[in-house]
Amino acid sequence: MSHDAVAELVERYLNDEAFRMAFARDPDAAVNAAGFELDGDELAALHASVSARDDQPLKPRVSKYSFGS
Amino acid sequence: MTSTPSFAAPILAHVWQFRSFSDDTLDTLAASAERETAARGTFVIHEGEAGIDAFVVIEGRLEVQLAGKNGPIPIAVLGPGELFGEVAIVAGAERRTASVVALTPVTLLRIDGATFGQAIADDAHARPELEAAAERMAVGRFIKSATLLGDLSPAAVARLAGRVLVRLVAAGGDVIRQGDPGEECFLIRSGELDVVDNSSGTERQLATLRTGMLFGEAALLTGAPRNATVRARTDCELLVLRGADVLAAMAGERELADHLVALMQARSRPRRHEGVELHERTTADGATIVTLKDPARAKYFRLSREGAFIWNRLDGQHTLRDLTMDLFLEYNVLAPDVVMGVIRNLATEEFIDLERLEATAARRTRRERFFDALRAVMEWTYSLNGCDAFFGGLYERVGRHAYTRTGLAITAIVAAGGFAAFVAMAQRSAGTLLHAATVARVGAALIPLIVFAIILHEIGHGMAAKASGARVDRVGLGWFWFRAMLFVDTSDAWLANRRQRMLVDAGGILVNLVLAGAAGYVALLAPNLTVAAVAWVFALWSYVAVLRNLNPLLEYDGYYLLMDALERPNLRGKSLGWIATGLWPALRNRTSLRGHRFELLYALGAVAYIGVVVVWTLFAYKYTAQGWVARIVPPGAAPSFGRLFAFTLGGLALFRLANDIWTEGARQRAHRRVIHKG
Repeated sequence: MSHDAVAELVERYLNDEAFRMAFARDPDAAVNAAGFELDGDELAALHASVSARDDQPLKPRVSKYSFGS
Repeated sequence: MTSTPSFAAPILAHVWQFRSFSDDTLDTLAASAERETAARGTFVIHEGEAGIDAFVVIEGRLEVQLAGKNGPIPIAVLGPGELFGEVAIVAGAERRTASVVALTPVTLLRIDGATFGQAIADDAHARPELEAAAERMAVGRFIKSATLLGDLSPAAVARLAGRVLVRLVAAGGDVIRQGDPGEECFLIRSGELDVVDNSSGTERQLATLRTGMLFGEAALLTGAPRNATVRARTDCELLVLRGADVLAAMAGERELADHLVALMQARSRPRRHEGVELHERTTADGATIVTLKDPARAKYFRLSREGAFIWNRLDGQHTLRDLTMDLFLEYNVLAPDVVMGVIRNLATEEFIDLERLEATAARRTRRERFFDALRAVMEWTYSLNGCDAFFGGLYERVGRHAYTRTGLAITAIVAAGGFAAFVAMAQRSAGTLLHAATVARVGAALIPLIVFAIILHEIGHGMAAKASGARVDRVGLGWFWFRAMLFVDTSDAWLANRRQRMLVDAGGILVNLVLAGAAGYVALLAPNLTVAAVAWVFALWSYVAVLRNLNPLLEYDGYYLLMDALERPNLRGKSLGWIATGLWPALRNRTSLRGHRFELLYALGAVAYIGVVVVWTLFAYKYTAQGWVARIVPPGAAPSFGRLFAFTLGGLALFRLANDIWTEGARQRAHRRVIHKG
């Protein structure tokens, strides 16, 4: 399967500020408005939850003891 | 409307587009001109309507606008002496290509379009100049409406539009070549181009560029050679923007700088920093957690399995497009926003190399600098690094025995039995402490015991960290929320599992419980009443210290215990940040509270706790500070000093809380912008 529409969508996302903003507000609406025709699997991928969304730097763990404690 | 040829002639003579016209031509134009006025907000020209008359501004200001998806886009502001409406005449168009609206009450000179057209036809010099002006307008309109430069001010667009060159490139021609120096970037006015990487000896297509896209910005911003070749796939018309002009526009327009840097990063091929270690573990419920560790900087970063998948491809060859497509094919998730967010966060934390513009990345606002200074007042540390060998040696000789079954059993017996002795001796110790002389002796003996206990508390964390296989690279002292403190850095415990991390969190408290228990036995068994009283008070202090350390609302041991028990890293920051970013929307729409109840609860608790601390500070420190200075300042001044001191401390505490909320909120907003906006 070529997934040309997905490749084009990704390129558009990376290069087009307005599309990025629209995608942030409503991915489905942005994709439809831009005329991308995604098939069922691709739409499911668009709606899939992504655990990487919560990837984050970890703050230092500093075990401290105050003299007033 | 009134006919005013004599009035119009000198005005037309000062319109620079008409400077080549003869006096006769100007008189003809003036004879056809009429003066008219328009109120503020009036549209003199509507985009798309029929009309060929031109206008010269006599008084007032007007704005040239294009219709945009989200409302009108301003592209220029016109003032006295400026001509508009001529584009339709020059281009032979029947419809207006932009709207012009009065920003103030205006007085205009309307020139008959047919007469104007004839004047241009009769003057060999006028047409090229007017065509050039019309072309500049068209370029400005294109820049404003079709490109990422659309946020530029009308003046900046006009400056850029006046300086761009147009380049036509035939299909198959290279516009830029990989490795060449770059002093200009390009806007695609029409056509398509391929971005090609030749670095590995064989050509690899990285992307396709289309109308409205900008390219060539990376070399311009970083000064590095071109990182790819761009080749025309079809015949193209490009607008060439000189580097100096773009940088000048960026200097005055922060948004443009941000857009260009975001664009450059979106097209980059990030590379992992050397030396960063990847540690993987599986949680009790089977989830895989990957933690990156940069040993050189003692920095840690948690990744999901998708994040780790991305990380493993950051070899300097994969673009964000490649990464997003690979993620899609491997995990069936289509999330360019998330890929961009992970990359930007890794870059911010310096786990990867990503092109960035130091001038924009490092700039801090005045408010940020103020809060930095405030944070330093509230929290300051002096660290000793390279302590792991000391803790390792101590653990091997002594500490490891405490983490055997026997050691833990002895710990439990001492702690539990000692507590019983402490309770049993409460009445006798209280009786002893009724004597003032005993109180003084107990107080003097207690100070070194407390210092000793604090040192042992920190060593307790260090031993627990070693028992969990974590390094302890840093110890130090400083102050935290107005109190002197000792600390050990147990960040390496991020690599341990939940049980081990909780053991590290509790290591200091366990030491306090053992010390308190031992002191309870001394209070029970010591024949000397003063010694028994000292031991009992020390045990009391230790139990109070344990309770205070279990407070989860500041970053003490209890906080880390709660955070690890719930597997919610950065709990405090997330919760306080949520107040700044999520509370107001949640108040307006309860459904957005879903999934954030714990953040709300924790944040409210933390805020309420600071409130109590501030109130307590205002009362307690007023009299304490008043007492300090009572002997050295006039009697009337001591209460004022006490009040000033207490209010300063209370104010600092509130400022610090506000700083935490603001900083964490800004971090979350930035993260969301990265995810959503890029």
